[in-house]
Amino acid sequence: MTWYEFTGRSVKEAIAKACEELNAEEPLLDIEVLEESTRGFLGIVGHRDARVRVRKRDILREVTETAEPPESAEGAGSEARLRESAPRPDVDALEGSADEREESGEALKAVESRVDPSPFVEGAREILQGMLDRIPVAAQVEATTANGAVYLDIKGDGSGLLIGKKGQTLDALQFLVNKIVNKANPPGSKVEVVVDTENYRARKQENLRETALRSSEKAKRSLKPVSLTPMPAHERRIIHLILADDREVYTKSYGEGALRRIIVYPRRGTINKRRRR
Amino acid sequence: MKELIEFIAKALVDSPEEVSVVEVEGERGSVIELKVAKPDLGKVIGKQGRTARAMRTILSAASTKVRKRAVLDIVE
Repeated sequence: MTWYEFTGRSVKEAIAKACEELNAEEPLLDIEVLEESTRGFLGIVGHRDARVRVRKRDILREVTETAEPPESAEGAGSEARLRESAPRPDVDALEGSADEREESGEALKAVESRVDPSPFVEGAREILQGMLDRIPVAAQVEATTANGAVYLDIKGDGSGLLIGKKGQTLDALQFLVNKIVNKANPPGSKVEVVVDTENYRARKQENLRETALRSSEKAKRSLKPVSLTPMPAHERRIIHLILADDREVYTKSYGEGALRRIIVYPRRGTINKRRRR
Repeated sequence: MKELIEFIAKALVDSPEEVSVVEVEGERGSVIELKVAKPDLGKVIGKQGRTARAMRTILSAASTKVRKRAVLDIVE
């Protein structure tokens, strides 16, 4: 098999070019980096492109010799499985106050054995109503169940006071109600309580969906990772879930605590495939 | 506002009878001092202070509402 040389501003970019040119995904190529790129001085003086040497791997021969399935085929298989078992993102994503449930593929796959929320509805409603009465705001709490969670809707205030900056007051209320309702419940049998007012949660989720789709578009277009602003766990979870269905990008979280943020990465191989069609 | 913190704290802890809340008026608003039983201290503070932070957030919403500054102090 013949070798081809490609250059790019970075090794990654050079490889991306190679994939596109040779109509092959990265795992199907033998890649040798001949030269790393140097950034140069202030990005102007002394910049040097990266150079890579690639050739197509002879998969058929490799398979017969090593009796091992090629990486790419296996990768695609497990991905397909993951997609089948992944929960549908839309409604499920609405709840999600659990701290770090979002991250791994494992967690996304896991179908939780949910606790029946109905015995907790009245108690949760009373607690939230009690808090509101003492703030004091004139508002009524309506309680229902939705998607296996207790759903508390605050009616009547409408001033935005209870939402707070970026929803922080609403989140604080929700956090405390969850904590109180689940005081006696051991981990694993905790019931989820969602506190909402003026349809804030649904509006927020719509915003998150837009953010997710926009950043995924940007990642695909630029072929570069796109970093989002720091978000709390349940918001990151929603973004992960929305983009889990998108085969051309993948998402990861970086950072600690309040500064933890999602980075959306383009998947190189699939992008090239799509462009050709 | 004292009642608000008292209500939340009593709901959070295991021994509500040992919860005491004192409101100390200062020049620039009031300080709300929350005292709980020793084993319950972790419950009102929470992992990385999350519970305490949530209470302060709600307290600041409440103080906006009644136009009076208030801070929460958890005393041992």
